Amino acid sequence: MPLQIISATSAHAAEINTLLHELAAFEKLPEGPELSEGEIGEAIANKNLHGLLAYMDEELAGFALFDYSFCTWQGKYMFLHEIFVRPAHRKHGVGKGLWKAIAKLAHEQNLARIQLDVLDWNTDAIKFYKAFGAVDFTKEEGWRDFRVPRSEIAKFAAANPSAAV
Amino acid sequence: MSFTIIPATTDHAAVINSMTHELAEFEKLPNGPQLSESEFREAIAEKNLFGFVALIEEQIVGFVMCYYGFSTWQGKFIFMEDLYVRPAHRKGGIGKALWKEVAKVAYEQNLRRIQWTVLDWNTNAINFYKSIGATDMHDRDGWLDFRLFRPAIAQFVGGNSENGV
Repeated sequence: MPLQIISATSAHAAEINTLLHELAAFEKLPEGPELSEGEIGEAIANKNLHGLLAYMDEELAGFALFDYSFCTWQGKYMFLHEIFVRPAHRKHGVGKGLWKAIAKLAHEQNLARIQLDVLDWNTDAIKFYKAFGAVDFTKEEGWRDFRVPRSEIAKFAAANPSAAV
Repeated sequence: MSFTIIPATTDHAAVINSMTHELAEFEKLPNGPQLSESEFREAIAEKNLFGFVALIEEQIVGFVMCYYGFSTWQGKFIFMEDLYVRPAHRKGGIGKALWKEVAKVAYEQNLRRIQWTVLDWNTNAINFYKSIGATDMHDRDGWLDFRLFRPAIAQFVGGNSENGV
């Protein structure tokens, strides 16, 4: 069949790694992905990371990568880290197929939500997500994503021990 | 007044759960927290949530709750869900001390980042986070937080059946 979607196993680590880098280049953040192929395979084997791969006429066409987290407000939810269709395979329903498979998994587990990040200039992706009923939570409630990298963590954690504990 | 900080246990679940409501009120999102006290306790027992509480004379005056996520770019990370100090006990270093415990956990596991969200109008919190070396990822890269909630998931899945998975 033309479109086939399968669950990723650790054997797909190389294909996943390739697509991760293609997507990061598109996002203008090519230095973003830092994990090795081995780390990706291990994460899938340990179920820290889950994936779906899409093939069109047996050619690798796209993927979706996600994990599960637990929020103090709503409990278990799915974080969709990546969803990507290679340029040559667009406009053939691959993206929608992947999204449907993701939504089905979330629905079967009765999850409170699917959450994802999108770049504010990526208007095609924003339209795509809104078409499926996703809400821009940054705009809706004002949430901003903050991060502290390892170097800053080290500065803080390696400083004088606190008086407590 | 001196305080101590200890890891959060299931014994603290009831108080922490009610304090998440105090925090949600402050955030002008009082309908946000939807978990029952027992769901909260179970989440701590099963280590889906972990954190620390600050005590003054055995009363909980502040807390931080976190969980682990897995990033396709940087691997295991800590998501800091809630950091809260009751108004009467602010400006005494409790917030920073709670943050330090989270940083120590991340440092000991050599994690590449700690991540959280903050409301764009909460300038006190934003100033605090910037003082500890955090970066606003929307300012840096343009990331927006998108969410698809359970009713929209159900509505989407209720459509035509799909080939593939």
